[in-house]
This record gives sequence, structure tokens and C-alpha cells, in this order.
Amino acid sequence: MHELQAELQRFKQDTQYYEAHREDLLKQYPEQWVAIFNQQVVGAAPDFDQLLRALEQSDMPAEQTLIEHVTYKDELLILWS
Amino acid sequence: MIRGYFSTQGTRRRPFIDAILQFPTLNSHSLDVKLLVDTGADRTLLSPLDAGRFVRRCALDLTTLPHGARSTGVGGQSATRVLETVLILDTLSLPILLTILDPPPGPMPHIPSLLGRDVLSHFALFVEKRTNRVLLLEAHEADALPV
Repeated sequence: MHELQAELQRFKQDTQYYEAHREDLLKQYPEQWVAIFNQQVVGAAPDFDQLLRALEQSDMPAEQTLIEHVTYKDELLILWS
Repeated sequence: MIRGYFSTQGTRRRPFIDAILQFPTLNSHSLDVKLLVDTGADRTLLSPLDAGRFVRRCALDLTTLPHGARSTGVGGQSATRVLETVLILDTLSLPILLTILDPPPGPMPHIPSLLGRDVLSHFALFVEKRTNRVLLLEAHEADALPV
């Protein structure tokens, strides 16, 4: 459990990194999927599956990586399940 | 208290909470996720995009999982699968039955994973965009509020 809590803290730092650097990421990777791990961009691709394959090839743990679609576009979400 | 945040996509800011999903029936594999706080969602839901991040790693065929109730949204209905999961939020862990949305045919929709009322109902929820606060308060914390 302690390891998972430490991992959650690490992941939270990655989501904070994304929020803090979103504007820069928008300029550098507009309309792309971006992977962040340990507060670093570890991959980017226009297609989600392409990015997953790249992460796999570079032995990055996709299940622990923050993947965001960096976009200027406005999308309205109305969800329930 | 569990603290979330507002995350921006396009021009919209939405409330999220970071979590880890651990799957006891899959050799305790785990998945880090940011979950959109959705009081309209009956259950916590894993999006096809987030599911795609872990199925290859643990060689999971989603079609082998039991069917869940059909999910209904504004865009229509979708088939789902369910998976026993432990949801880890800071120091708390909650056993849940995670609903996994079946990938729809065609391009993958950019739907986030959702933190639904099966989990939210354990807490008092405080969301305030003005101060960027997204908080889940435990019962003793909610009871201490002067409201």
C-alpha cells in the first residue's frame, strides 16, 4: 500500500507538471497526444495508438504515464453512465 | 481530505481527482488515472483511452470480462465490462466494481474516465472554481463544517 501511495504522489506531480506547462505544450505539440512521466515529456504523437506503441518500444510504463490531448479546440462534454 | 484540482482542456476547466486503480484479479496490476468528478455518473467508469493504457501491459482481453449494465449518455448507449478494483485515493482505498466502457467502432472518443457516485457518495464534495478547490471530505470533516 505504501508503494502505491508513493506512486500516486509521483503521478500527481505529473498532472501538476501538465497544468503548469500546458501553454508551452500547446505551442510545442499542438493537437497532439503528449505523454508525461516523472515531470518530463517522454513522447508525443498525433494519434493515441501511435503514442502507446512508441511508449511500448521505449519501455515506458504506459499505465503510469499521464497522456493528454493538447488542444486549443473546445469540446463540450455532457456525460453520465 | 482528498484534494483534486481543475484541469484545462480547450477553454474549459473541469474538476479532476488523481487516483490509482489496482486490479486484484489481474496479479494486482495497477493503473494511474485522472478521474473527472461527475455527480451524474452512477458508477466510476474507465474510458476506452485509459483502458488502452493497461490492457497491453497485462495482456488483458477486455472481451473476457463479464458484461456490465449498458451505459447511457447524451450520445446514446454503450456496452460495458466490469472488473473488481481497489480505488486508491491518497491514504484511502475503496473496493469498487469498475465499469469499463467498450471501445466504440470508429475513432476513439476523447472521453475522460469518471469518478461516479458509487465513490462520491462516501464523501462530502466541495467544488469551487473561483479558488480552484476540489475537495472530498470524509464524514468527520463534513460534520465539523459550520453549515
